Amino acid sequence: MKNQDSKIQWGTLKRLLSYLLPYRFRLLTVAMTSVLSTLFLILGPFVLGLVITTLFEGMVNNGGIDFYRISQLLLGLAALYLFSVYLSYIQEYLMVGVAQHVTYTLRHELHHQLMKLPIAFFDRVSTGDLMSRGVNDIDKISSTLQQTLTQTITSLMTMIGVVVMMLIISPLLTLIVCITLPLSILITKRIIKYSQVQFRQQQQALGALNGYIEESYTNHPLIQSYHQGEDMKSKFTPYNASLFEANWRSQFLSGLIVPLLNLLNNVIYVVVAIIGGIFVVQRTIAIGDVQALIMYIRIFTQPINRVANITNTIQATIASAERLFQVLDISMPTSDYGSKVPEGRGEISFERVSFQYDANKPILKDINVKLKAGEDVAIVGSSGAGKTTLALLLLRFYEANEGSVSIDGLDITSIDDEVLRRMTSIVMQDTWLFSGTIRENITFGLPLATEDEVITAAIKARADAFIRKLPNGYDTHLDEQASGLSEGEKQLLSIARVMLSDPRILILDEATSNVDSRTELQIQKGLQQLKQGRTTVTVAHRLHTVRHADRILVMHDGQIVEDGSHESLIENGAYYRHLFLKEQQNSM
Amino acid sequence: MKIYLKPYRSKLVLIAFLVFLQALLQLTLPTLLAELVDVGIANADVSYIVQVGLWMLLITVVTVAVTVCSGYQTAKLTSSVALTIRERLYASVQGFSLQEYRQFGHSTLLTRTTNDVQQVQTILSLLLKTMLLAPMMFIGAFILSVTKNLMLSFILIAPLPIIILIVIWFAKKGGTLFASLQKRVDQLNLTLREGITGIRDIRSFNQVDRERERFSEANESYRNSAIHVHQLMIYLTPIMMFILNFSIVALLWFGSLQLNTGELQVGDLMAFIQYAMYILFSIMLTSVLFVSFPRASVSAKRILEVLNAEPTIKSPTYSLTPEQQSSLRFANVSFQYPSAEKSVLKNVTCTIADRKLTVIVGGTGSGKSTLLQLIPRLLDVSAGNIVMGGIDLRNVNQEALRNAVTFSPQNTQLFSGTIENNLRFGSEDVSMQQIDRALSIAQSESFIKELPEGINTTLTQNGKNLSGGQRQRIAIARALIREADMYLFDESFSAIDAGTKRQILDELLHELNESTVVIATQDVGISKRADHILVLDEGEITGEGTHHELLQTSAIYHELATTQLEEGTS
Repeated sequence: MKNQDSKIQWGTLKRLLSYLLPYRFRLLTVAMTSVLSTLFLILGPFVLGLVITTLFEGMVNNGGIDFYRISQLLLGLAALYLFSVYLSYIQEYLMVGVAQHVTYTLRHELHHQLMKLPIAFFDRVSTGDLMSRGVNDIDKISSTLQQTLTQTITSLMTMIGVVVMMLIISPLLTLIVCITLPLSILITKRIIKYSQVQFRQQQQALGALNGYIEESYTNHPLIQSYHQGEDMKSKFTPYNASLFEANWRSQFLSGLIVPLLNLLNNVIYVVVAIIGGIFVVQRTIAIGDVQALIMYIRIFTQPINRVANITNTIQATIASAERLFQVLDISMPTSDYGSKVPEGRGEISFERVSFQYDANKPILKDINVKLKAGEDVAIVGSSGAGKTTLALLLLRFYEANEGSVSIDGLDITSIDDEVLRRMTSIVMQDTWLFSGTIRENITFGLPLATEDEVITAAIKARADAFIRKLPNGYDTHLDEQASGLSEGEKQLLSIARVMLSDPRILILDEATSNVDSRTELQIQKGLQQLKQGRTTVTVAHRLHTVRHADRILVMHDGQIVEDGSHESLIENGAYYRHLFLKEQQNSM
Repeated sequence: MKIYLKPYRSKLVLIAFLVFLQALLQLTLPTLLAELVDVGIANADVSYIVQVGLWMLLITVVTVAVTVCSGYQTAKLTSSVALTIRERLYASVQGFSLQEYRQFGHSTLLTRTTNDVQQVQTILSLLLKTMLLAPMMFIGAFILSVTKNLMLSFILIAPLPIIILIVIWFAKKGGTLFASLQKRVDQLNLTLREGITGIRDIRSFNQVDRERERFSEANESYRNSAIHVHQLMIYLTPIMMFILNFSIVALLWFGSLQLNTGELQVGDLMAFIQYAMYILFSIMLTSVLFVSFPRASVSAKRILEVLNAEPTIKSPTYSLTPEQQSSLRFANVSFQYPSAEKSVLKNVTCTIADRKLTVIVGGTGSGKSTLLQLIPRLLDVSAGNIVMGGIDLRNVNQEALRNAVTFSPQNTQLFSGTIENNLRFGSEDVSMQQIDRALSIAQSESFIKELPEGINTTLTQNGKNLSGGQRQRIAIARALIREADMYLFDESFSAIDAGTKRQILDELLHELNESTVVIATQDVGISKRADHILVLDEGEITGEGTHHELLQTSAIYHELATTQLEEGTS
């Protein structure tokens, strides 16, 4: 099981790395410059050691210090540092670009995928979770890319380079230093084993807390009016506390790595100082070499610490990448669209259509119905009868499990998706407005509409009057929640939007349920105008709103049980009559 | 933000002490090394070398022990600070009235409670680890170097003013750049969120490409801004490295001059190089801190905005429990959002009678919802007052008020979790019989029975796996389970089909016979049943009376009724 896990992780890592492929030349430059800059950095202490030895020898030999040699060495040292600094700047500079471009691509792909996924996916997934993947997880990947890659290269280079240099100076002392390596790995691995558990717990606790907060903030008005604030707070405490526990533990444990490696390092440092000192006394090694070795040990610590940190980061990044790839990998069966273009009459036919979310809970059962072009058809029935689902099949928000839906004689799966959507428009019960001006919201379906067209559409939708009352009229900016507009006003805007986009087939999904009857009547007048020459499918729960429809489909339990005009249904449709009388009694 | 550290003052002192100890101990190593070279090696005294070496070893072990202790304390402290800030933030939001809640918007409140707190925690732990260590290392290394050689010490700190200037410049520049980057992050998140919530409309209006473009724009603008910020910030490290490495070179040059005249020993020079490394190290740490500081301060600001938002609705200083809780008197009540141009309610004066059904009818945007929201004080009146049983609402204990009044908001709000848990919201201890009774009044028994797990069926976020009507029926049942004196329903029946609605109303009104019920609706079928109807138009009461009275006296009501009835009968 564990093996399998790590295999999957390697796959994720590989896939993540594949995003770097387009930047391979830049990365190659980065790799080369980091090799060079590390090389220069490593040569530094060596030259420094030469300086010290020259000084020491000058002192011991009483022959005076060789200043010419010293100045030459120092100039060389300065040049080395300068180069190394310059090169490390170049590599950082390049990596910033690469990291940002890669995360740009990831975000782009995520968004692309979201735009493609079937609506059924969004019915099931929480917005907060998707947002978290798009924001937090990609952020994590971004910072890792920016830092880890150069660090990995320079760390490895530094380790190799330092070992080579130390070998040149003193193989025996190097051997002592190299004991550090397996020990360091051992320590790091040990700690990571524990800290990783805590990290995972921390992410889980964070996720749970996030979910709890998201929900309680969304339901704020309800919580307030039920006076459950205190109760919600007390339920919040355990979520918060378990995050706290995992949080400090993971922080503390992962923070242990550096001091423990430092311990190891300082011990080696002292051992080298002692043994080196003895060697100098015995004249088997130069004092400058001991100085250089000591500096190398310091330098040696950094890459080990870094690599330890990097393994930590990479683990977390892989977890994030996995969450992202999960979304990118969802394949749901809507993706295939044809390229056919219907004639545009607006004829609709459902043939033996069945639909279900869960195998045991059919929503639509064997629907057979044909709608003529330009017909004004209403679907009525009690809630849960499948009215909305039937209408939404037309937009391919859902795919029929069996049977076929066709427009103008063409199966909708063979129709080009843009054409299909240009032909059909929908007004839904829950209005969606985006942050932007009122005008932008109205022209959503037709961005190039003229001012006249916009105003005409708004007047027809009975939205013009209230828009003009807003502080900046059509240029009034709506915020994220379109606060300041009532539900009804929002609905009027979305109706204006459809007015403007002028579709062949119009779907009204309980569009006027949030609007008062007076406004509804006004809109109905506008809609009546809009319905001219279009096929209209109206999903309604208030029968009186659809009395004038050419044809009414009465649904019950996933099936069309009655079909006809209001008058004929009153006469012959037992179920319709029953529904109608119930509503009549209600309003009497 | 400082106040959040206050309770931990003693711990902070402890951490500071531990860090101080850590710096001190680390600094003794080069000093001992200098001894080892200048005394041990120069005199070829092996036993002295070993002795000093053992001291160094001991100090190393102690240093690590101290570091682990301070790490433990720091981890605990920063996590507890984060815990406290989250708790306060959450509590603060729970205290928000609808006004502040709308001002912020719930998505930003969420990021502020989690992400921003994390940012602050990160910087805090960086601060404790380095902000304390770096200056101590710096000062310690400097003092030790001064005792060894004054002139070389000045070479060590000569570049300091330049470094400070550079860091200040970067911090300033970074501050503005990160603030603008944060705005782009917000924009990016907003666009992503809108893309998700609006997916249905985007598809049906064939605007997928445009939405992609919109997102690409936000994405690109973020990328470019991020590249800009980071490419500037990465100058900092190389510049620092450059300055510091050159001061080491200078140190060596002047050091060798002094060696020549015998003012300095080789071991001391070696120690100096070590001190220089420590100073380098401490300055690097500080600059890292400065780079991350602007980002965290943006987060801190966002957190403080929430914490400092004064809830417009305050709990009364003295609380009263009204004897007669269920009659209400509105006297000249007006309501206006602070930034809005026109009032939502203007001079509303009316009475909501005890144990009667009052229906508020009115067009879209007439102020019905606002009027209802004033009763449980989700909002407070801007002018005038509302009196309940002789006491101004603003003087009534909030808990007592909200227990006496059950309000069902217009948008059905459900929690993820089982249906039963949702029903028990706000009244956890009710019996199963009470739940069943409420469900039967809300006509929900049959559809719940058909669900795979009945009342234990788990609802997804906001109950999306139920239809609109089913959600409303559960919300109605939930309101009924809560035993209150007054029930307020805001368009709570709009998605329920006529037949079911009628049955629910029949049973509900019978059940709540002894309670005050207020329903905001546009449905004449409901208003007909009312004992008293208030007609609201553009925030003003334009008519009141019974159905039959209003048919005569109110043009608006007449129109409303005729449109609905005409449609219903002809």
